[in-house]
Amino acid sequence: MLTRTPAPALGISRDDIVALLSRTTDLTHPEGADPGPAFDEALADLRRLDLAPGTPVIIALSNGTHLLRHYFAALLSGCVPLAVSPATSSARITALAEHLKAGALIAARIDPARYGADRVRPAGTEQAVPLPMGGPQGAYRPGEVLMLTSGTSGMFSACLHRLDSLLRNARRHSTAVGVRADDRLLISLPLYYSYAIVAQAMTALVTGAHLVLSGPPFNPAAYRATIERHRVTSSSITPTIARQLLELGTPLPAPLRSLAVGGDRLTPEHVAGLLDLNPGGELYVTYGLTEAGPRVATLAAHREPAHRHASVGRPLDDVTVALRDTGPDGVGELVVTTDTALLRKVGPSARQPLLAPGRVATGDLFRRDADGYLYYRGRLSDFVVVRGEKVSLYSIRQAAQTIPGVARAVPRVARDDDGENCVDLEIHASEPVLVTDAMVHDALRPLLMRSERPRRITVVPLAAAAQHK
Amino acid sequence: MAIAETIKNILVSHVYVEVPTDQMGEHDSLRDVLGVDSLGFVELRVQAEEAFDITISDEDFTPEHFATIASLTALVERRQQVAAAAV
Repeated sequence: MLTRTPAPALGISRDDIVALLSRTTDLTHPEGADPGPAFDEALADLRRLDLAPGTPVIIALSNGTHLLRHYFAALLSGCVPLAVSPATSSARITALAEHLKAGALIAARIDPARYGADRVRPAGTEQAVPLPMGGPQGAYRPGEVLMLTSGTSGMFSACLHRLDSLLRNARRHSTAVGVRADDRLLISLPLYYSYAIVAQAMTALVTGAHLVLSGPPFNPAAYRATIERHRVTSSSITPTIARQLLELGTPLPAPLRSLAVGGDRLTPEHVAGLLDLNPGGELYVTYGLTEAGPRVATLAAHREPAHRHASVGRPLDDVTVALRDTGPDGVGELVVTTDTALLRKVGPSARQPLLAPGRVATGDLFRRDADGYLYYRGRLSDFVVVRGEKVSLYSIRQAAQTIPGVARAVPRVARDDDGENCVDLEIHASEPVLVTDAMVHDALRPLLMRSERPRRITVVPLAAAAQHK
Repeated sequence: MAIAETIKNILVSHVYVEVPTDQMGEHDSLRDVLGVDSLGFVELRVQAEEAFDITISDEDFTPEHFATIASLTALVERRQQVAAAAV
């Protein structure tokens, strides 16, 4: 579906992006802009920032065509896009810029003083500001992409990928889940998730499918109405959303042919329930991780017997997997070999997943049956899913230990009143007079995303904490 | 305190929006301009229910009602009227 004259070494052209934007229905900005001129304006404004090739541009925008415009404009101008939540605080963006060598920020509305600037620059319908704290520009190469792994590996960690390998991953995903040019893909997950940008937006780019973009808050009734009104044929959701749909219990509207669920464990009971909600439809259980580009394995649950509904299926074409350090129960860490793996990890990270070029240690424990189906059994890595968002305990430790007077921070996973995961934080204070739970709470506020914030903070004097060891 | 002002204070105090309340426009998009994300909307709903002593049903928890401070203000007013009529 891509045009024959892509930019050198990039694999996509300006016309490809304009064509994608032209076949995108943006429910978050229904008034819309003419895709061609709007994209050219975003591209021209970005070029006026005069960033060196290979410089990251942080894009802190909500879902919408404006995000896709800036993302692909950054790539076509030789920069390296890094999409982050629009709720990211200026303190965290500043630190991200320092760790990942970013040169500019694009957001809907920017207070330039927070970034040491006296004015904002135009960036299409949004705003931009240079980030001098990022240091020397051009840390990466044109055609590369940064994707945050703050939820799994640390608050300022990211994966460096190449766009062409992400597009390859999107093609493999489209084959695995049967996306066609006449499909209409609904994106309701945030586009700063690797799954949404690769397995949905880039999948539409390479297959010619239509996109329908929506944004929060998620509401099951509105989701159903969107499927009906916009003739959505393919949708991807998280297990959290799946549970909301199951609670509602109403069959999904007829236009929906294909539903994909991934991002966390889905029980066999939920798989069976989702099959009942979409009789005759296709249900795909997906597994992947940003480090792998991101898609790794798929279970076409509608074609499988019930005893396989606990599985995430088998690897995509040209992706191979192995288990290492396998125990007597057959459970071991999944190692993925793929040519869509990250180039390298950048920023301070809790773990280095790249064992060799193209070989990723996932940190996830699996069992594999005789037919090659993978069954998730737990995690080696240090993260937890809180209300659908991956939260790195390393990130929380990392943030808390920057607070003066905090010697050690110990996050612990707990359950809240609704039975959902949450994190409690124990602070070992070297200065117990200065460090209080309220002070820690205030200090963490600009550093942590909402899902990362501890439910409860307990301060213990360092001496007392040491006595309990 | 007027409903809109209370919502602005909730956005700063509980949703951690960085835009000062005096720079928030009542028709600014909560999602685009103020950067409220999915978990932020959940917090905004809970805090609005508590601050205004109302219930916001799942049916009312929509992108349309939570589009702007103005649209949320209108929803709060409607829910308060329903609550008052029920007394």
